[in-house]
Amino acid sequence: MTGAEIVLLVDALLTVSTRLVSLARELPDTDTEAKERLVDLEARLQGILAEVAAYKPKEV
Amino acid sequence: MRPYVFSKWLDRLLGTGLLLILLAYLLSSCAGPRGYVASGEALAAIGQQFVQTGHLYDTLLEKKLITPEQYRPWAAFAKEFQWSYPKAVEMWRLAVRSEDAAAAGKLEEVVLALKNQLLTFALEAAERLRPAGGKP
Repeated sequence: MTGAEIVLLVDALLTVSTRLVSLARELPDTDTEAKERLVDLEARLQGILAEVAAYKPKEV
Repeated sequence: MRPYVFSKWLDRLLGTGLLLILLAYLLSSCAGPRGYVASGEALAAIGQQFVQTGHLYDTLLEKKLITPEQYRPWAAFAKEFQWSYPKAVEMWRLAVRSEDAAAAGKLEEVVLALKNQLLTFALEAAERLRPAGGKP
C-alpha cells in the first residue's frame, strides 16, 4: 500500500468522525428548522441504511 | 517522517474518544425536535463510519497488512452491526413520530454502544497502519 493510499483511507475515516464535532455547531436554532431537518435526515438515513446493508465483509 | 505522520493520525483518532463524551452530551441535552436531529445525525455519521471502516479493513486484508485471523473479529462485528443498525434507525423513527422520551433515552444507549464498538475497530485498524517499530 502506498503512502498516498494510506493517507486517503485514514483521512476518509477521520472525516466522518470529525462530523460529530461539527454537529454541535450545526444544530438547528428553532423547532421549526429542526422539523425540516428531520425530514431530510430520514431520507439520508434511508440511503445510509442501504450502504450499510450493501457492505459485505470478506469470507476468511 | 513516516512514523511521525502515523503517530499524528493516531493521536487525532484517539482524540475522537472525546467524541463519545460530546455525543453523550448532544444526545442527552436536547429534548424535542432538536434532540432528534442530534441523535439522527449521530446515527448517520455512525452508519457512514461503519462503511468506511469496513473498506479500510478490506484493504488492510487485501494488502496483507492484517491476517485473516485479525480480520475475523471485524467480519463478526460487521454482521452484528448490520443486524442492530437498522433497528436503531427504526427506533429513532419511532421516537421522532411518537416524541417518546423513554424511547429517546433507549436510543441514546444504543447509539453510544454502536459508536463505542466501531471506534474500537477504527483504532485497531489505525494501529495496523503504523509501521512496525515506529515510535509513537
